[in-house]
Amino acid sequence: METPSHAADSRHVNYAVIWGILMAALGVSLVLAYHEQKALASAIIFAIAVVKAGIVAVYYMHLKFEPRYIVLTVLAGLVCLAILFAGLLLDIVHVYGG
Amino acid sequence: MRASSAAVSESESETTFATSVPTGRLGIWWFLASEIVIFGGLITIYVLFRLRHPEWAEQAAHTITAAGAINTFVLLTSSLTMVLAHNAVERGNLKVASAALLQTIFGGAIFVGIKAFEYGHEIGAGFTPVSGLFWSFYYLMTGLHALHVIGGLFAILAIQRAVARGRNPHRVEFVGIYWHFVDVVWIFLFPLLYLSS
Repeated sequence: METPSHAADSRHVNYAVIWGILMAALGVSLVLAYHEQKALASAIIFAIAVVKAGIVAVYYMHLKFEPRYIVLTVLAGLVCLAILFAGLLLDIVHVYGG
Repeated sequence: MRASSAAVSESESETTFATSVPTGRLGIWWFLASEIVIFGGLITIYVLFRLRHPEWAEQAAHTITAAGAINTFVLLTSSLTMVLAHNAVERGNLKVASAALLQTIFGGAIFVGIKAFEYGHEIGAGFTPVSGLFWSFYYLMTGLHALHVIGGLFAILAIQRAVARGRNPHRVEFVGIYWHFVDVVWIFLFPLLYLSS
């Protein structure tokens, strides 16, 4: 069941436009994949992926319209992931050096 | 008896805690928070290994970029039909919602079919899960993702059948959130495994 404000807000989103933006981002990523400067292209491609994931989460998953409690739930998962990443990175630096 | 069960189910779906969030929606978000750690952990470990092994680019060059790109298109489009199904439920149009769910299932099935074709091609070329660390990561991450897609397809099918009979339409939102998460995971897997060569 929708909370009234959630349902009313999400109805005004133009999902086809969102889809178009995601497709355009996919196209840009594919073009960049054949760029000569691989390292720079890979960094931009990954940044585009982060933006695409954010768009899906905010508009398709309606995170934009969810109460703060749901946003905090997602952040809890991301914080756990950040702790895991930091621990692994420290271990790798310790074992293999910088 | 069935009507009674459905009524109880509807009643339970409206149950909320102090958060004012329906328990169904709360449950799926908590589930996805744990999934963030599972997929995020795998992706994190892969990225750290990848940075230390630039030679993996040669292995990544053997993945079929066109197939991955088509699958990205298919999955993003199935996310669109899924959100349109949810939108239709909000507007009370269950017939449109049911049709949009079927389109989502169709998209998911195409994704699995293309993935199966890729696996066949890669294994045929000698790239198996034990061919090296890159391929171990490749099969583990895409395989776990594919299992999530297949599980999602069964869930969407069950909910579509219920929605077609006018039962439990609120569940479209819950399975939709899950389906979009599966899409988000693929958004990261595609560039990491196909475009990083």
